[in-house]
Amino acid sequence: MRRDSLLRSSAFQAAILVSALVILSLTVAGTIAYVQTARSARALYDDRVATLFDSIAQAAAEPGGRGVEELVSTYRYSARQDVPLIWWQPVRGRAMGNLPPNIALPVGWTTLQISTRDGEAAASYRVLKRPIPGGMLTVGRRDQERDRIAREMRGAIGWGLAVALGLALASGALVAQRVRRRHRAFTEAISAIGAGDLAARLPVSRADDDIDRLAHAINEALARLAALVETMQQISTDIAHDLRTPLNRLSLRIDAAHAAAEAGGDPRAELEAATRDCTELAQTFSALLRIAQIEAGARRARFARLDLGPLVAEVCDFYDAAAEDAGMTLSAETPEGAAWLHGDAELLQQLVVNLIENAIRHCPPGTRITCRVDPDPGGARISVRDTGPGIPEAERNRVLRRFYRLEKSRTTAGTGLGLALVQAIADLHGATLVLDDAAPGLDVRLNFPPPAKGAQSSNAPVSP
Amino acid sequence: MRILLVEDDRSTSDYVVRGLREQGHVCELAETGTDGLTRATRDSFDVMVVDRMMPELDGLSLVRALRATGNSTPVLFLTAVGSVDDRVEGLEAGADDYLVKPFSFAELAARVQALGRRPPGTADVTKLQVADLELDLIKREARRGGVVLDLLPREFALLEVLMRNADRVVTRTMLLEQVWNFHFDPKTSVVETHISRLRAKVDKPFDTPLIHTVKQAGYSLHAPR
Repeated sequence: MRRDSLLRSSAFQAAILVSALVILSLTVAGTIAYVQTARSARALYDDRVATLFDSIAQAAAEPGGRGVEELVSTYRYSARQDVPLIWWQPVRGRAMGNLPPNIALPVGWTTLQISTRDGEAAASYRVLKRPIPGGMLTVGRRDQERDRIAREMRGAIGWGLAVALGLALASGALVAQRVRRRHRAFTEAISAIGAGDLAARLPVSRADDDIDRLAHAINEALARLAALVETMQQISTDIAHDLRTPLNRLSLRIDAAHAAAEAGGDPRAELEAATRDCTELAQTFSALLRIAQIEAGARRARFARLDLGPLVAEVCDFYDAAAEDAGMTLSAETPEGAAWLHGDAELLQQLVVNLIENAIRHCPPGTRITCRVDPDPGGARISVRDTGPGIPEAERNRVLRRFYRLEKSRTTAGTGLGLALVQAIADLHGATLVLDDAAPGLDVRLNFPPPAKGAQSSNAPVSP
Repeated sequence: MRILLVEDDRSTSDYVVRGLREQGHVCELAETGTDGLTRATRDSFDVMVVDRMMPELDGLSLVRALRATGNSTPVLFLTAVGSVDDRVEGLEAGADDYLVKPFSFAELAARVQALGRRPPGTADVTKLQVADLELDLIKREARRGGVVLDLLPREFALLEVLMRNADRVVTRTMLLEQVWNFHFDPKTSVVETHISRLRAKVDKPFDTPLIHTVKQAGYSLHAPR
């Protein structure tokens, strides 16, 4: 069963294919090397044969020198291991030499396989037969090196191919195993996710190869999905939990109005209060849903390039009267040039509004509130700073959560969603939100990314 | 005015139709999108109030179809809370204004009134006048009884919206949208603050008040009746 699935593995098949190609090219290369070597070896040996031939022919042609017969005898009875083949067929006279009988050779070069002595294995000889003055001379030398080279080359190539094949199969199996292991890990993780475990993630190796990058991308998507699901669940919980009380209160007020009318009194005061409660309920509900949608990233498609300075200035212009009525001062510090960013004008207005409303609500008369916009090539910055009581360091993270209220603020009006919305809007814009001590007071700072990033929607500047 | 309400929810439509009729308007009801489209193209109305979510033909498609036939009856969209992109989508489809449920009837009535008026040439007017109050829109100058009023730019804008809607109710939400371009709901009491500042400059130094508060609804600028 296991081997069966190994053979079916695409990695293994790919490895086999590559190995086959490698072996094929090795074979071709080996063959070429063999042929070339053989050819040059042959040329070398032919050279030796020709040299011997020429020296005999030359010596025979020398006047007063030893005749061909004498030379042939010398060579024939040489004690050397490497006895050359030699045959002399004079025009007049008896032939002599050590060629075994019954061997007819053509003129020119021949390769011969014979054994010169009884009991010896046949060896390869390279033979040259040519006419010289006086007769036909045949000279041959043993091609032993060539034999050996041929044998050794064949052996080497054979072994090389065998080893290559073995390595190919082994590495193919190894690679396939590794891929299958990863594959199995992926399949398991995905099954877990499919079964509902949103915390499961695809495993990532340290290799950082393309599969790892794919796994990273999928894991990011899964994280976003899990966050979305959590948000949806959170919304349902929040709505159930926190709208229940105001709904209850509303119901009681209407009952009270009813009772007042029945008793002959004037229900209008209760009804007006009930209307206010309704409005507040609707606002809370709307804010919750808005946060959810912002967190789901639905509005990113409508982002445009806008200048933060005028936007903040307008909001401050709207609120300075309210601040004044509360005994505080609100001022805007906007830069000379433009502070560009990529975002949603309405959401950013809401963000600044929430921060200012928060300051007005939680600070005593005499507080100074300042909204500052800084342009920066690294990204526009907003700071809303007040000289009020500030937020204790321990609470700073928690105030950003939905419905969280500082103990001392529990009785003040407001939904408790203001800062949660600010956080959601900041996240959507890729901005960092920091709550800092203004010593004294609170400084809320946002750093936005520069507008070069993510310019998918229109680039027409939008004035809010 | 002749108003057509296209709404499938009985309780909402009963309430709205009754309210509008009490105000003296002629109000007809269509309970599906298709019926609404038929009636809108067959008869003529001054304003249409259309719910976005309806069976058969939804509000958005209805308005698109209406505009495609060249019908330019002003349309006010009603929509459930929480649809973030709806407003822009609605305006792009051809609607003129937009109201999120739950809404107060006063809000609906004020917006319907505002949509219904289309006296010719309002857009190109350069001067507005109510009683002894004059607004020069080119010079951005306000005068009352011949005296120039020292107004901040936003106070001028606020006064302009009130004057363009003279004799009609302008709700706080409408002011937020038209003067400051805010489309969400900051505490509307801030609008009151601005109105009181405006009053201090426009009404207080003079005998007769022109800016009136309409209880539960908003404000209205008119000469005393």
